[in-house]
Parts: sequence; C-alpha cells; structure tokens
Amino acid sequence: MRAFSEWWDTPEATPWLEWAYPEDDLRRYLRR
Amino acid sequence: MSRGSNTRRNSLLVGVLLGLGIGALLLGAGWGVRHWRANRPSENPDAPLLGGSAGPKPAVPPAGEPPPPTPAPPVGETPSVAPAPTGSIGASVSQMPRGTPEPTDSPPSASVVELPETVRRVLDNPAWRPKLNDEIVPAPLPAAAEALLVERYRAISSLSNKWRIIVILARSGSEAVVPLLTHAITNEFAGQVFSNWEADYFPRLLDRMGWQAQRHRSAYEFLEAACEPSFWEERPLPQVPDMATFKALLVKCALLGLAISGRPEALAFFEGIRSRPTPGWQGNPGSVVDAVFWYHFVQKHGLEKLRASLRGIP
Repeated sequence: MRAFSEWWDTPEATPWLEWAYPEDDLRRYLRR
Repeated sequence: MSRGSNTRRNSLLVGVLLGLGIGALLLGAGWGVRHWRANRPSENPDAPLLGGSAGPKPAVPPAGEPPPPTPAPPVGETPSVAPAPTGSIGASVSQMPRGTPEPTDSPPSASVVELPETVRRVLDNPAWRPKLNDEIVPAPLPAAAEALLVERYRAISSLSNKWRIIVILARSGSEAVVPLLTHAITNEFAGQVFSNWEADYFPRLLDRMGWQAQRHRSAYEFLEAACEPSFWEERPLPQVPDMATFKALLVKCALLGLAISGRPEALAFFEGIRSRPTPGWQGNPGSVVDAVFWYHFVQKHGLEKLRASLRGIP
C-alpha cells in the first residue's frame, strides 16, 4: 500500500521501525 | 231654549263617548298586535314591529369567543392506513405515516420506527452482501432498529450470517453492543471448528470493536486487554488448523481496533508497549508498527478512507 510505504519514510515512523525490526533488516530496507 | 240646549249637550256627550270608545279600541288593537308579534317563536324580539329586520346572524363570531366546532367523525371510525409490511422475524415493520405524527408517550417500537434501508435488508436476509456505500448506517442507530438487529443476531448461529449485523451494530449501535461483541469474541464460538472464511473474519470482530471504542470507553479497555498475547493463551477459542497464527492475528486486530478508536490514549498505549523493559512485549512488533501507521492514517484521512482500504485485509 502506497500510503504505508510513504509513512515508513517519515521521521515519525523511524523509532517504531528501529524498535520493531532487527538492525540488519532495517538497514537492508533503508538501502533499497 | 232650554230644550235646544239639552239636545246639543246630549249630542256632545255622545260624541265624546264615541271618541273615547274608538280610542280605546285603537289602543287595544295596537297593544294586541305588538303582543302577538313579540310572542311569535321565530321572530327576533329585538326586531322592529313594523318594517325591516335585524338581518342575518353574523358569520364570524365576535372577538374573544371560541370558533364554532367542526363536525366530529362518527365514533368508532378511524383514518384509513396502508397495511404494514411484516418483517421476516415476525415483527411488524411499518413505514412512518405521511404528514406530521402526533406526539405520544408510548415507547418507540419497531412498528412505528422507520428502519434504515441497510438494516431492513439485513433483517430480511442476513446473508446479504452490500456494496461499499450500502454499508453506511447513520449513527446513532434507532433504538428499535438496534433491538431488532440484536434479536436477529441471537436467533442465528453462523458467523457469516451474523457478520453484516455485527458490522452495523459495531458501527452505529449503542454501548449495549459492547458486551454483545465481547461475548462473541471470548465465548460464543469457543470450541467451534471454523471454516477458512470464519478463521479470517473472526479476528475482525476486534477491529470492529474499535468502532465502538471511538464512543465507549468500555470497548477501548477491552481492546487494551486483548492486545496482550497472554489474554489469548488459556482462553477457549474457535478451532483453526494453525492456532499460533490465529492468536497472533487476534492480537494484531486488537491493536488495529485501538488505532481505529482514534483515541489519544491509544497512541500512548502503543508507545508504552515499545518502551517496556526486557523481555518486553511478547507479541509481534510488526503488528504494533502497523497499528501506529493506521492510527496516523485515520487521523489524517478519516475512517471512511480506512474502511475502503481495509476491505482486502482479513
């Protein structure tokens, strides 16, 4: 879902992503 | 000379007497006519004795007097009304009469309350599947409509046939719906072997509770409790092939329900989960992230957009 992808890229989402996903997975996602 | 004088005196006396007599007769006749006219029953006593009349009675009553009464219908007759259609659950369901209804102290009943079209169709056929916008029922639901839906809900057993009723009650029902939904989630289907469809939709009872949680604190508190994985561990549940995934989905939908509630304390609750010390929250953190996203989505776009977006999600 586009809105979901857009939210993931916002600073608002960052602390949730860092908490929820292993560091390697998150780094892989951010490098895409 | 005296003889002639006597004759003239007698003639004068006779004339006077005759005059008096005639006068007496005339007076007597006049009084008699007046008395006769005055005592005629159809005559206005105030009318002049000779010529003219008092005229017709006034058509408009004088100021300060009540208007003349209008003819009343014969006793025992009632206005004609169209025959009331009968609902499929045996309750008499009629349309509101045209015109202005008279106020009454009687409690509202299904027979006098106009049911929303969606409610009427669901009552007629619980398996009815509406189009997207057909699902909208104005809130609050009329009390009589809610009572009919609850009665219908209890009369049928299949979750798939209850589903549309649940959607309407959760969206537009009163707080009385909260224990109904709670019972459905925690007791009603315990031990039943679910089909795939039922396994997909049963957890959605929790996000439907989120609609109630917008308005009712009791629904919100239930959802907070249901976000704990331990809430589901020892609870008798419907039977599905993969119970571990099923329980994770229950927690995910409880989190989604909190997001749908739109309450500020829901976001604080999510932050509380995130900040728990080790070992931390025992559920899937990705479900919390999803819930936080939906919380912000609802804040930004509203529930209608959410509703359209969630249609593909079991």
